[in-house]
Amino acid sequence: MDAKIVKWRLNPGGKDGQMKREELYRAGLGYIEKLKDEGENVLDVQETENEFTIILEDK
Amino acid sequence: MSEPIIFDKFYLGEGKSESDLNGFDKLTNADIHTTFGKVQCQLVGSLDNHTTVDESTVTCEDRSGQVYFFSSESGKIWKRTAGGTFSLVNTNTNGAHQGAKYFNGNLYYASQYKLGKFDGSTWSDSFATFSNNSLYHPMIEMNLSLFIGDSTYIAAVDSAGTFSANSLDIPTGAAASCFAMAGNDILIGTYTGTTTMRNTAYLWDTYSSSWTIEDEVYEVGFNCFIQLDNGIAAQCGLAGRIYIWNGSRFDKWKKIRGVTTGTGYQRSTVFNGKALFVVGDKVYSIHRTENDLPLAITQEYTSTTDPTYALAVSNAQLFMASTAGVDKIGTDYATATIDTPEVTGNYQNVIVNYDSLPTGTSIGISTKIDGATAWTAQTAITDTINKRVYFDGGLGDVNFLQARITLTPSGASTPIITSIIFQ
Repeated sequence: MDAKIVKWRLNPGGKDGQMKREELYRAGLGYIEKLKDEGENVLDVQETENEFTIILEDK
Repeated sequence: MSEPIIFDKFYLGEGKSESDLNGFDKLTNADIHTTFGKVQCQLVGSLDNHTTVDESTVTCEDRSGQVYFFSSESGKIWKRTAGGTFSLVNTNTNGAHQGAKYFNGNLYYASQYKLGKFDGSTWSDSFATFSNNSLYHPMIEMNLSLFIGDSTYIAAVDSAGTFSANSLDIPTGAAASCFAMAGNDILIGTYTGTTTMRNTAYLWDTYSSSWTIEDEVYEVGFNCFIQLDNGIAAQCGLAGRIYIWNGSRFDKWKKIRGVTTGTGYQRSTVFNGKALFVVGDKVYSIHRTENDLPLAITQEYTSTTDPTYALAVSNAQLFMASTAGVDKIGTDYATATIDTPEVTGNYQNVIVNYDSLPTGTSIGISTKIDGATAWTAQTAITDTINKRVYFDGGLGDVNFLQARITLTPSGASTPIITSIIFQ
């Protein structure tokens, strides 16, 4: 099975008004759910301090 | 009688008002740059294809001279070969397009929800999924990555082909509407909505988690950036206002008078070293031929269809994508008009000195007295010995005089004039 990677940044921006890490984290989880809802096969999600690495089946 | 007044600084382009003597009231299809100090007709906008391509599009060109047109009304994608043949090459199952860019050997194209990719053999309409489903997906290549606007996120594709859905987030509410290169950084222009009269541009180095500088303009959005020679301008708002980037702020700069402007990140391009910007069916240039001259605005080309939303350059050709199809620059000339400023004084004649008046071409003179609403065509007399065109005087009492000079070409021949004199 071929795979492709999508990244989601978790490190927050430094300016006021930008999303904080908790918000980015929640939004990232929402994005992963969206990918699933749209038919993507999410094979794995790897989390580091800076980002989610979402591994999808490359259909 | 008033002292004669001479208009010969065509390189100044359009002035700031109808009565600004440091420029012309209006220049239409006018080439003020080819021969310094003179003005001639510009080449005509002509049909390239209005049958295969029959919808408004966004465009991008690859490195081999092929230009792709992506419908902003449907999922259709057309290719124009370097030889000029159009064909439908794909229909995006995700619908209409908002942006496209050739990057790293692949063609990327954005519909509202998905980023598509064409690697030269396979069309992958759902290569990646946007997080925000923005109606604006401008794209720019910078620092070995492709950046794509997605509302409050800037998505990216890196050189390995990995998609990042949120390389940068900007404050909620506005959408990234256009990008420009600013040194090693990118400028991100935003648009909020028709009722929001204040929008912000962000300068971002493309890898930090936040931007470096931000600046507001009190306009309804950044419509597009215009790449000047070592400078960046931004066309903002509804009334043709242009701002210039001074490295940290946008300064109010120029205004294209009498136009209504709107969003569209592909409304500008650079063609033969000239920055071009399209509004309606009119393509304006912001250009100077030498560094010590002022940047001049003139209306150079006219597409066959209003509105035209996107410009592209490939194979030394300018393409204008409109609701009806694709236009290009023809080989014949278009009829040009030069409207002088309105001048105070009891002037009785207008003399046009010319450099060249080829067979079949002509120079016409119309006048407007005391702010009349309509132009009055005068019977022009051509003096081929002294190389000037004039009319028999007799305008009566004149308080304000304005003249329109019409340069009528003949095929690939154009009149060239050197000065306009009121006396």
